[in-house]
Amino acid sequence: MKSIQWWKLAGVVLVLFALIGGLLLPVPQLPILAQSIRNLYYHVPMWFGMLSLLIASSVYAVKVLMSKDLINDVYSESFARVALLYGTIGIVTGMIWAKNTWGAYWTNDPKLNSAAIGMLMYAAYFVLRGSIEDEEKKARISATYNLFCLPMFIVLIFVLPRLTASLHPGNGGNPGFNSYDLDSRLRMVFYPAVVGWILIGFWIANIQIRLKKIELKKEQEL
Amino acid sequence: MKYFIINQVQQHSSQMPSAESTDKYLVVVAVIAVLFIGIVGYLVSLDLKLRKIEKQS
Repeated sequence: MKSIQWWKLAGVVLVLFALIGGLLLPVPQLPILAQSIRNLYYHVPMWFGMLSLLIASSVYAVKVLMSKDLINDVYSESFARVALLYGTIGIVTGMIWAKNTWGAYWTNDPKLNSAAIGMLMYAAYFVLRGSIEDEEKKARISATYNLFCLPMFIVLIFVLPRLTASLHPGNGGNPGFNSYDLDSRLRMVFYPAVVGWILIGFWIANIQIRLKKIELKKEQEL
Repeated sequence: MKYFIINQVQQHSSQMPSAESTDKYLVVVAVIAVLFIGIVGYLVSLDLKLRKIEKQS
């Protein structure tokens, strides 16, 4: 463990605290939600993690377009890949929560549909990458597409659901969780969960990037 | 620790008052913790292996 960086260990400690504390520590008694409010610690951090990774992916997409170094494309792709994994976990945890509180795994809610569209947009990013053989062309075209995807994703997830009627808290005129949590019991676990999952996401991406760097190096040597 | 948790659960939930259900709840928590530790162990082993290869090349 000596050579593991501090931020990776911090991520592990924070997520472990959120996983255990999220199930054992007291939560406010809210109507309808009851004990299912604990899913706040598992569902919402996934979307924070996904967004952080997508922003990182876009930063490297800009770097791809500004320089000819293909290593930036490796970074951009890896961050987007882990972001898609987080999004998938976010959707699954959300569906379980929806079944318990709204009575169905999927409803015609604008936030749910927007999340699905956003995920499909990023799935298309990988289809696009797979359809181009020339490495430089692949890097530049997918970076351009990536830069279009991020603002669209933000609009779909954060803007559109606020303009229409929505079942989600904090959207469509519904009060957010912060108005219920007057004694900050939720925040004590929620914030560490968000930071922890973001760090774990960057760690997974970091492993992917280093693996690809080694592969590229070996290819160049051959 | 166990009595603390039973007390917490009784105070904050009307659905899980018995010691038996608290035991089951603790098993769920333990399984989740073990699964996460397993994933972290895998990540650590990958990280260390990569570090070794990076040093060699």
